[in-house]
Amino acid sequence: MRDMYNKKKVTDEEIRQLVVARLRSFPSGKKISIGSDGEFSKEELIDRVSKNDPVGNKIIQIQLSYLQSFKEGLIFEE
Amino acid sequence: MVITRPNHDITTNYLSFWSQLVIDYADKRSLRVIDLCGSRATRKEFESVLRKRGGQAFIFLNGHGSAEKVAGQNDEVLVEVRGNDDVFFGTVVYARSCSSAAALGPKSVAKGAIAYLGYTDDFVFFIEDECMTRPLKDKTARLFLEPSNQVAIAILKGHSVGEANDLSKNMTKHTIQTLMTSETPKEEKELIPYLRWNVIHQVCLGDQGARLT
Amino acid sequence: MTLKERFYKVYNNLPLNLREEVIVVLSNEPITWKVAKLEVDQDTELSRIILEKLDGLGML
Repeated sequence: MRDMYNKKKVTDEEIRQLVVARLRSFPSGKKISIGSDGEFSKEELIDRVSKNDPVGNKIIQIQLSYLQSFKEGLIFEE
Repeated sequence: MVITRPNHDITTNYLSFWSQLVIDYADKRSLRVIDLCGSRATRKEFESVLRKRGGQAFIFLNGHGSAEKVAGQNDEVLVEVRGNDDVFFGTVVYARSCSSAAALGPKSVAKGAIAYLGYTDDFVFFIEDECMTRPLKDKTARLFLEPSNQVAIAILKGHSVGEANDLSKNMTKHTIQTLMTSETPKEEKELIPYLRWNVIHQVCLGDQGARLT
Repeated sequence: MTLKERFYKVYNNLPLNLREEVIVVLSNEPITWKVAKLEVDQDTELSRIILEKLDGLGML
């Protein structure tokens, strides 16, 4: 995951804080199923991201990939 | 069509229910379906059915997975790299399972699968808490699972595997574009990163022009 | 192209429904695309930090 961003300009902790802040808008009354790891609510995801575990890291990956897709307008072309 | 439908946890139960729509479509077209549902989704049954398939050319796998394997009921491994990955010889496979297109897919094609459609990373979807016991009523899950059903339905309709892949991805892209507009409630736009994740990791390996005869 | 120019290029193409998404957190304060633009428009010191962070995140 560290290859996804410039570690000289952004720290791992800043990435976690960003994703946690974004997860606060996670829809209420819903869970997300992530592969074999199970189903997670907003609170559980925030906890996992904060703890830096595999599920948390997967959410970070998904969010970063999405944020980066706006550069060059990729989100419209994928 | 041979279809595996484990249903031992919330995720696999959702996949199992939503796969019923594909089975219903196949039934309407009088296509032969071998449905390995629940306790029938075992390696022994799976291998037995594939050995005796006699012309069943489309395999639709549902279940948990990883780069090298796809599982069935209670996460029993059904097919794996360096194990029985030659079991797909002469077939078209769609694996609605995490990551299997990263390794199992290419290996299967190298060993004679005509085509392998699947995902190179985790397949994710949302679930509404109040619909957990009624998966087909779940409008949020529909946004993720209807496009993936489209892969199987398009193949059964006679589209090439490449076309089926594109039809499915385009359905999700259309949903994403709708969610990006100003008329969508802000809460629903939170689904976009996850819909996009599935699209960018959905691949079709092997003969793009292959279709069921 | 400067970071500021790259920011505007991305921002201008951003769907309206997505402009209130958080894109960076500074001193525990979430900052959205819209808030970032306010700072960038005024060339504030904060905007320089924001642009560096967005660049580091691979978003510009």
